[in-house]
Amino acid sequence: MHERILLINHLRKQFFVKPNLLKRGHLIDAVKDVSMTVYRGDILGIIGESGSGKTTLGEMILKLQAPTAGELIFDGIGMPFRKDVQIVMQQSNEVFDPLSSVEKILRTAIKRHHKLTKSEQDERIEALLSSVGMSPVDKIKKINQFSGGQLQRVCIARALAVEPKLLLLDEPVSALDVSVQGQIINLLMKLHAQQDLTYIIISHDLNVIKHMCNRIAVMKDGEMVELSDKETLFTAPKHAYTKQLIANFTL
Amino acid sequence: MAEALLALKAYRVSLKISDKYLEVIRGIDLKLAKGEVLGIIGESGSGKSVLLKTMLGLMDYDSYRVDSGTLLYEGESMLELPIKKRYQILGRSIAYIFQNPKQSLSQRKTIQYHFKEQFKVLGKPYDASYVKQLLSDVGIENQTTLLKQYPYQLSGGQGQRIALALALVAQPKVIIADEPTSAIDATLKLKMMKLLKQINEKYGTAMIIVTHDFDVIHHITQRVVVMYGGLVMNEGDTQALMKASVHPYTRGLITCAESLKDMSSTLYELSGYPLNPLNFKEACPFAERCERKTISCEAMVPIMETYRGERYRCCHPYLDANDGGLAHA
Repeated sequence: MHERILLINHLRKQFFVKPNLLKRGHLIDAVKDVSMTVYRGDILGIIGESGSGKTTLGEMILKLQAPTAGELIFDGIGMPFRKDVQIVMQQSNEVFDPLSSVEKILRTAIKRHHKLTKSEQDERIEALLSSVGMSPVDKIKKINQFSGGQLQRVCIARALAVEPKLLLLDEPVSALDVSVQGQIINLLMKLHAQQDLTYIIISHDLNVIKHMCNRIAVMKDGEMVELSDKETLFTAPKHAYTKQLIANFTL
Repeated sequence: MAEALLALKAYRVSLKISDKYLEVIRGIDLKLAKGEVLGIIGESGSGKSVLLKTMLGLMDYDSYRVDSGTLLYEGESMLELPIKKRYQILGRSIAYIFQNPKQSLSQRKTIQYHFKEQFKVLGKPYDASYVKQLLSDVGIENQTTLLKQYPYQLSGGQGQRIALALALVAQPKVIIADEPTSAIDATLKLKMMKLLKQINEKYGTAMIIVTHDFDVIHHITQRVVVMYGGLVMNEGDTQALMKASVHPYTRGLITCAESLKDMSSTLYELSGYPLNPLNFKEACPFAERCERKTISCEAMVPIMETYRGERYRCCHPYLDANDGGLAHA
């Protein structure tokens, strides 16, 4: 259980901003000096208000952004990376080509990282669809025929197609309807229990975080102010900001 | 209910989708009393945005058709009026706050410009002290610096406040807020809700709040309308409805929202997905997802009935078995 999967060491990201053509630009710290360890099987939540740097941190974990300083060590060094870390995004309808079919999307992902024959690919596609609670008949459907909740299932299936070890969930349910949020959360929890997965969840919805995570990191202005177990964080928060966040949320 | 400020009767709207008309609002009755805060709750595809936008004439009028219905504002019929005339009446007394208010402002003009423009449209001279008072009402402290800023420099919460202050310039009788809290953080949500409540109390402005968030509904509205599949499925007093609604859909939604707050291991699931307007047919729109579904659900759209002041559209509501004996359970 306590095998380390990801080590984040003094990670820092600066962006160059130039607010005005005439003014001189300057550097701002989006993420300042964040260190944490993620263990195998963890569900780690990252909470914070908008502008706190949680998405930038997520992008660095995915290697979509190069850090300015610090290092990220994933499960030892020198592994083929994209096969191990995948993302499920918030607005899944904006991610896919609306006219491509589910089958095409999943097949592209499988072909990229696994050497399988055509029939093996077909089997894999059907297995993936049924694991996310969709019927195999749906595979010929185009992306623009799906509702938000179904699309989020496709997005999860796509992320799982390459058999990743770590899944980054960026606001996985906040764009969904209330009646569908429960379905997706249950699905994610089921997949976590069945497969050897580690989740990092970025969200500003404390209810979702509270339900899903076992460890929670709180970010404020690019700094990680607190990282502790769920129970500790909700019963005895250490940092004043965390206390305020929880108080605000529980009305 | 006293005289209604805004009353909508048997309202039906079709949207134009590549030369065909698709009915998305299928007969809606709505009433808003003076000073009342009404919540409209509905999932995607329920028609809540179309309802409000067509009512105010905010949608491109080639893209939809009002099939039937009347809209009365202070007893005056609105829908027959030409669109410009309707703007003159409704635009001054009804203010609309968009989901993402920062984007509805011009990025190249200062905040002050937007206020000045608002006064110009109303045909009044710019009143700086009034603007400052409005800004302090919505909880903005350093008003002078803020007026010189540009919309892109604002934070999400400030943007919401500015939109509210801009709406208040015209001293509207009704404020319609489309998802006022969905674009902002959970921490700001509380502040925004308090603010809307204060505005309602101070100015007596009636409000229609469209949302899918039960917290918002629960804290600031007096009456709530639940929409599904282009129909009003349930309507009643907010507290009573949240406590025990007779409608299976409202119950399902509330259980979903509540179970997320509990620490239960598996969340309550409402099976299926919200209905797409393409699949509307002459049946109860909620039939596919309903756990109390019977054969009669597929046969016709249930009629609106009343039970203890709560209006509902359902063939097998959760009524007390002793009361009316309608219950199957």
